[in-house]
Amino acid sequence: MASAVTDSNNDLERVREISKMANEYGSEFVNKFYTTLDNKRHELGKYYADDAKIIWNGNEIDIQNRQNFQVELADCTHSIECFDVHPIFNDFNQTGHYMILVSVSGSVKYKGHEPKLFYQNFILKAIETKWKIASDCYRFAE
Amino acid sequence: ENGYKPFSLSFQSHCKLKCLDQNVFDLIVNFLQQYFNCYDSNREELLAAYHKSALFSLSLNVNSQASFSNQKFGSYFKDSRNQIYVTGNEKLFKLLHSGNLDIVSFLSKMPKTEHDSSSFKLDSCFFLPNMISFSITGLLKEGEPDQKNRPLRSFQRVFVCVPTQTGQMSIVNEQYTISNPSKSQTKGKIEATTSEPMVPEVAPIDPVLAQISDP
Repeated sequence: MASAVTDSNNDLERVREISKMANEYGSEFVNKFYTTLDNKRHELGKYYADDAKIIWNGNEIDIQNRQNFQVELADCTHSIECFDVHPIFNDFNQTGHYMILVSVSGSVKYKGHEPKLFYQNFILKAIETKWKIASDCYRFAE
Repeated sequence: ENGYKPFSLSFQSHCKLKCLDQNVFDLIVNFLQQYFNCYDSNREELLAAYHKSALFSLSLNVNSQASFSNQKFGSYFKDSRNQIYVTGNEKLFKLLHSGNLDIVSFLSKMPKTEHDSSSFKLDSCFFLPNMISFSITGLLKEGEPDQKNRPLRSFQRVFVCVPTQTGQMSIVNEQYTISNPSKSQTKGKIEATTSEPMVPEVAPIDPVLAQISDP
C-alpha cells in the first residue's frame, strides 16, 4: 500500500518535472523556429532530423527536397498567437527518452494577401544532445 | 434521430505518409469516425479512448489577426493553456489534464458540439513501431442544437496514440486548439450555401506550390 502511494506521488512529480523541461525547450523552439522560417530559411536544416516527416498543406515533402521546398516558398511572416507543449513519455514512444509534442496556431501574411489562419504541429526528438524535428505538419485553415 | 447530420470522414482531404501502411491509416480513419461521433453525442463514452496516463490540454487562439468573426469564448476560456499568455510552471501544470478520468470529465464540461466532417483535413504525421501521431483541422458548431446563433469555430486536434492489447488505439497525448474561423472558412459556411460553390482563396503564386495539388 505504502509503495503504491509513493509510486503515484513519484508519477505526479515525474509528470511535473518532465513537462516543465518540455515547456522550457518547446517555447524556445517556437521562438527560434519561426524567426528562422521568416528570415533565414536556408538555416532551417539544423532543426530537422535526417529522417523527419514533413507535411505541408496535405502534401508530404521528402526530406531530400525539404531545403528546395522551403527556400522557394513565397516570402511570408508568421505571427504566433497560440502554442502548447507536452512531453510524450518514453513509456509510450519507447525510444529511451521522452519526446516533445508542440502545437501552434497563428496567422501568416503573404505579400498582397490577407493574413491566413494556420495550424502546425511538431514532434521533437533528442538526438545526442540536441532536439531535432522528427515530424512537422502544417495546414492553412481555409 | 438526434438532430446531428450523418458523420462521415470518407471523402475528405487526407494526407497519408507514403511509408505508412494503408491498413493503419484506415484504422485511424475508423478511430476518428467513432471518436467524433461520441464527442458530438456522448462524451462519457470516450473514457475508453484515452490511456490512464494520457495528457490533454486545450489552448485557445482567441484574437487571431486572421479570424473573421470575433465570437466570445464561454466559461472554458479560463482553461486555455496557450503558452503565449500562460506562464509559470504551477499554472501550466494545473492546466495539463492527466489520466482518462480527468480528461473525459473535463471534455464533458465543454460546450456541446456538432463537427462538420466535410471540413476535416486529416494528416498522419509520424509513426514509430509502437506509436502513431495524426492531426485534424476542421470546423465545428458550438452550443446546444436548438440554440440560436451557434458560434462556428475552427480547430486543430493533435493525437498521439499507442496500440492496446486488443488491437485498438489508445490516446496518450492530445493537444486541442480552438480559434475563430478565418474569412475563407466563414464564407464557405455562410455565403456559399445561398448561391455558387465556394471558390477557394487564391494561394500565393509560387513555382513550387503550382506543381502541388491538393490530394
